Amino acid sequence: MNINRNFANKKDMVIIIVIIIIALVLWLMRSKEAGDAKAVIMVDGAVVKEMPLDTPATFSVPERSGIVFEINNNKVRFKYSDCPDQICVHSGFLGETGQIAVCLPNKTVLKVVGDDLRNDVDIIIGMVDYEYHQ
Amino acid sequence: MSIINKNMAKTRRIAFLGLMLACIIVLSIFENMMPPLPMLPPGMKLGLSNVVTMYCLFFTGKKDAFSLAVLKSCFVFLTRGAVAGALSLSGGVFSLAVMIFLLYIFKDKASYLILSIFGAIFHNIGQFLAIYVILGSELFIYYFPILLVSGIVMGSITGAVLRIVLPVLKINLEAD
Repeated sequence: MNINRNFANKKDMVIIIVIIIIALVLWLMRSKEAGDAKAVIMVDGAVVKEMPLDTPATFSVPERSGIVFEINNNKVRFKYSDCPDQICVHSGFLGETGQIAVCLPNKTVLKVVGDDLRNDVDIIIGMVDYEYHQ
Repeated sequence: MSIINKNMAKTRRIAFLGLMLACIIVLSIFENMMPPLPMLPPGMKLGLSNVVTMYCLFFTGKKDAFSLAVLKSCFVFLTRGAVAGALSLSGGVFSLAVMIFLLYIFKDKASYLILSIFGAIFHNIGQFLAIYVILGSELFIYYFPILLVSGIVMGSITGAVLRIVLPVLKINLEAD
């Protein structure tokens, strides 16, 4: 193979600028924070809980008792998690529709859904468990 | 005279690729020790192991680079679990596929920077697809712009690293 390949051409700048423009367009197209946005929690691919964001709350779901979620200021986050990575906790608060935080070891997804995005529900598990883990 | 290219002797190739795999694994461990950055989707990393994979793609060929990507995913599977392994496999395969495609179309005119950037972007796309398949949830809408921009940034960094390291590796081509 040819070792003497260029590092960068002038054409490359054009390509990069095009990519940035695409990114900007997509960024401007995302929906703004909806008034009646809610937090949706999915475990193993199924929706297990939906919570409105307007009321502060701290809770966990029965399927994953090692995870605590917190709703505050119309935002939601993973507060505590029993996973080794803690990437989910470090994701911080989600406040806009479309934002997602994921705990991969626990196969848990936390997302913010607005009214304009119809979320297809596979299974809803009825009982809601309110626990506060210290 | 010893050579590192598609025609090198079988035992030498095996030993060399084993060494490359070790580099990939060490770089991947090193990356994971860095703290996650706030604005990015969870799990976005620098992609330093891609430097080695790209080098092998350019100088030892597609099959070897592909084997390295698969083996790296096996390592991730063994150490971080099935979901992380699936993400690594998906990202690695997508990244290699697009680089091979670009090389096929543009041959020698494709620059390291563009190959590296597209490799990084498609690595992320592959991971997002894997997350969609496994968890049934789309990361795309909100995170795609971030994916593109971080792909550009990370791709530039790994491309630059490869470019810097290349003269040293070139010396090794004629060593012994």
